[in-house]
Amino acid sequence: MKSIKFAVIAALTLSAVSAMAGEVVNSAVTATAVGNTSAGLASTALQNIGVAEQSGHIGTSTVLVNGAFNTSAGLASSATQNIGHASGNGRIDNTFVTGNGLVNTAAGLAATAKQQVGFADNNGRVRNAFISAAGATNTAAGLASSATQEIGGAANNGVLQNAAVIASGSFNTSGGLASSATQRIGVAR
Amino acid sequence: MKTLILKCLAIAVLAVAGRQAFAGEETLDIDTRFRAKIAKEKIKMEALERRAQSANGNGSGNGNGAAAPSCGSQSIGNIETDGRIGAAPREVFVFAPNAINLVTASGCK
Repeated sequence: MKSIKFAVIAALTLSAVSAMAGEVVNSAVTATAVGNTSAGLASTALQNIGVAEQSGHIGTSTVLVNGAFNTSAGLASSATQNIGHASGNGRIDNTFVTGNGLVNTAAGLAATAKQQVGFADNNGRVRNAFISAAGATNTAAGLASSATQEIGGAANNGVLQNAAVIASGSFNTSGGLASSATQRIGVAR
Repeated sequence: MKTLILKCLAIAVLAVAGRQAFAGEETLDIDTRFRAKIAKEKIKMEALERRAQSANGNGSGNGNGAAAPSCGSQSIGNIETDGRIGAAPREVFVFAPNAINLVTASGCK
């Protein structure tokens, strides 16, 4: 009887753990001409395509996006566009991430625009991956606005290994007093 | 007189041994020139850590939840390991033609 109880507890624990860890494995994610918009005070526009969260793992997969538009407008608004993104001990391996015509825009006082393509966060590991973003545009406009564009990289004890990162014509801009723009392409930090 | 000389010798030996202990037990079996290199790297790492901590402490971000406080920075194929060893990109090909990072004239102020 006791052993059955232990087995049940073990099974429940294992299933809970596997449910927590986000995985995109042996998959193909395709998105064409997708749009996401949010407007108003402190509005948030979050666009996730091919994203694995919490010990996120994207493995042996293809993430193909043609034309993705993410926009937020308003005071303290934020626009976040994640394409092929793994977070929380994030891992991307044996994967092909391609984004063409990705546009992320945040407008307004203290607006924040963040665009991540083929990026692994928090002890991020990117291995055996091909990441391409052609014409990725990230824009923040407004007083104290901030634009961050990260293409093909790993953050927080990040490791980038055996990878090809191609970011042709990527454009990151911030406009307005005290605004800032940060662009990282193929960076491990 | 002899005792005094012996005492001096003993103190000298202890002083040398003490210095070895200060260098760290883990580096004792390493060649002297490598030990110097390791010590140099350690100092460099500590300095970088201090710099990073002071940068965080200053709160140089604009307080809107932005990931990077540095203004107008463009990094392509860079390594930002903060002095950590082994975090460098390996076998990586980075190609970013026409990558533009732009902050307007009124920015960064």
